Amino acid sequence: MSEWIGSCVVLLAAGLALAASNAPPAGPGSEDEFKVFDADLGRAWIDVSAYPPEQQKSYAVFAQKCSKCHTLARPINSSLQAGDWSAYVNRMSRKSGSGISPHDGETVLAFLLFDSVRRTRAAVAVDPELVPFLEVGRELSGVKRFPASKQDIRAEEGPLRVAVEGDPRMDLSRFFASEAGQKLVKWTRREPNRGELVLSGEAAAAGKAPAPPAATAEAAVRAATAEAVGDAADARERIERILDWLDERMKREFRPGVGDPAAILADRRGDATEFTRLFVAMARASGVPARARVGFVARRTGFFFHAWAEVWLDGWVPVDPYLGQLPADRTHIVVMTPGDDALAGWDARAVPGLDRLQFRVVIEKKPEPGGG
Amino acid sequence: MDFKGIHRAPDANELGKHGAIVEWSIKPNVEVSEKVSVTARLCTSCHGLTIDQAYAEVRLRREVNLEAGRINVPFGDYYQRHDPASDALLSKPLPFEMGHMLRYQATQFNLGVLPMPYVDSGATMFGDVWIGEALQIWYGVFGANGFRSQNAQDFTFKDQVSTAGFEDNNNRLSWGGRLALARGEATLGGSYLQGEYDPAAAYDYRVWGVDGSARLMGFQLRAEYLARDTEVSDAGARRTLEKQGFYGQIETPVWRKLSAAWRIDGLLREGPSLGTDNDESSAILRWALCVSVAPALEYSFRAQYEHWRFTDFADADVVHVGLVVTY
Repeated sequence: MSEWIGSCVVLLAAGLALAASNAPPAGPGSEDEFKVFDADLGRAWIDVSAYPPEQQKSYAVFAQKCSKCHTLARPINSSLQAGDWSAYVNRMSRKSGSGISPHDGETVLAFLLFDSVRRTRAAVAVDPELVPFLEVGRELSGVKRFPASKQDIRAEEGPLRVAVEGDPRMDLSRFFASEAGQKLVKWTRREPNRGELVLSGEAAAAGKAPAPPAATAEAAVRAATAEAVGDAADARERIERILDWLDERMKREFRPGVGDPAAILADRRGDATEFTRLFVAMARASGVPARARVGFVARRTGFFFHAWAEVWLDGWVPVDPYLGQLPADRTHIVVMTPGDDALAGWDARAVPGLDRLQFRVVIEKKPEPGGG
Repeated sequence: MDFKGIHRAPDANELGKHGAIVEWSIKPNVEVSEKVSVTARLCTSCHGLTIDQAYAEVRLRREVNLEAGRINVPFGDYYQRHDPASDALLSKPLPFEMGHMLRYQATQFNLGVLPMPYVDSGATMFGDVWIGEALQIWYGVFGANGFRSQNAQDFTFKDQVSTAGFEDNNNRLSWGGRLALARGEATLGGSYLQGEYDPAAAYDYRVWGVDGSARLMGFQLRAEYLARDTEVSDAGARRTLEKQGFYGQIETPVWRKLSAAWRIDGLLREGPSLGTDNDESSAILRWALCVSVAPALEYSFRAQYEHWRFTDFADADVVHVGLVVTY
């Protein structure tokens, strides 16, 4: 019997050695770095065909690395939220024989962050009051609640100060610019993950006006704009009418992703991203320069991802098409994005660490009348 | 949940137990800080509700990490998959089997080579280094209370779990380590463990094993071999009970939500058979096929057939029907 066992062991070892010799190289950068056979996806696979190509590649890494010691069902079915994955992946990568290099870990983490947000969005029931802010479907984990008094910070007078803290290696200056209505202060190179944002809500001072927007090629958007604007001649009035039109004709409803303006117009439904994209197109079609913004906005119990716009009215003025605010209130925190269109090609939710930012409103106690 | 039925058993009372087994576990984890986390694992199964893991992990750096408390001792490859929802089959490989093994009585095969989960009070220092992005070298050394028994006649799982408390029974540390190399989707590892198990710390055990896993053309292959020498008191004489075990396993998705896993495993016992005058070797060879259907991500149904061949007993067939829920 022992000879038989020995023979089996030798055969199995030979099979493993053969498999090891055929193992794909683990170095980064190659298109075929992680070739995934259909069978690799197993019984717990998720459909990523609608995900961006980069995330589909990341999924291949995730599917291979994270099914080695357990079924893929475990991480897929996990109740972990976006902010929890970093620590979890860090721990798992250190397990015996995980084969998850630091580079792999970043890839897996990026996918899990993206996927947890994407699939959560589709799965959760949406609280109508939070719909404007939902691109994640729920309050972000890790976002601290307001001070215990739960006061409405929008009612506070003067500039609003918000302390921000990110992961230890995060550099806030990469995400928060000092602009007209927003300044990053108390930030140091020594502790680049901490700082304070001073939100004044002021419009940018008048400067050189951008070139008039090119006429949109989408006839449906032009027609809707003409209907909305009517005979308004003043730029501000045109913007106000577009906001009114959106408020009356568009249904506020969570929609995954964001399509082109004509598709949004046809659907007549959307959340903040759809409202913003359509608004920008209509504003430009009315001759008013406009651009999209993404970032955070404070509502009720915390800060949420959000999208809004800026229009040129003798300076860039924030306008929130979903909330119907002109100008948008000062709780809007802009996140810097590459390119002119903040809604294209860059997903704030997929940036590691951005969803774990800690916000704390700094409210200085006012001296009591007659107090010494 | 696993329902097990045993067929072809002329001496069924000695063979094993039929019936349903519900294994449920939950593993809460708290990240205290970026470098410190605490984890506990509660499970309920044959031995009732047990806190079988409760430990703190300190991650000083990639190369140096510490896990201390009630830990899952890193031995072999299967220790990371002992949770039924993590492995592809409903039964454990014979080298790691405990109470579900046929002919499990102490005068027969008793436990496998290293019963799992092997959870113990102790600490593990572990880490990994990477040679480029291609090769991971993982290492871990551990010290723990070790296996225990009320006498010097092999150890039992019942003495290991909470019924006997978690304190050491002989004030003698058990220790060991593991080294694993991972390249691409292949892993090779080796593990060692030794300690004393009787109250007087006079009888020792030594366990060693090699393991490997790889993914090849969509097939997940796994194999392990391990052996244990255990000193036992045989009517006052010091004897050595040898146990060897192995398994080879292939897992593959078949079609859409259907997957299958095939395993062959064996267990060999040589030396004194406790409580009897049987001093010859005895062995088990088993093969098992499990098919799994997952209608949804959260749960799957499994059906498994096993054929057991004994060198000293009649063959037996076992059928499992299981439901696995992952949450």
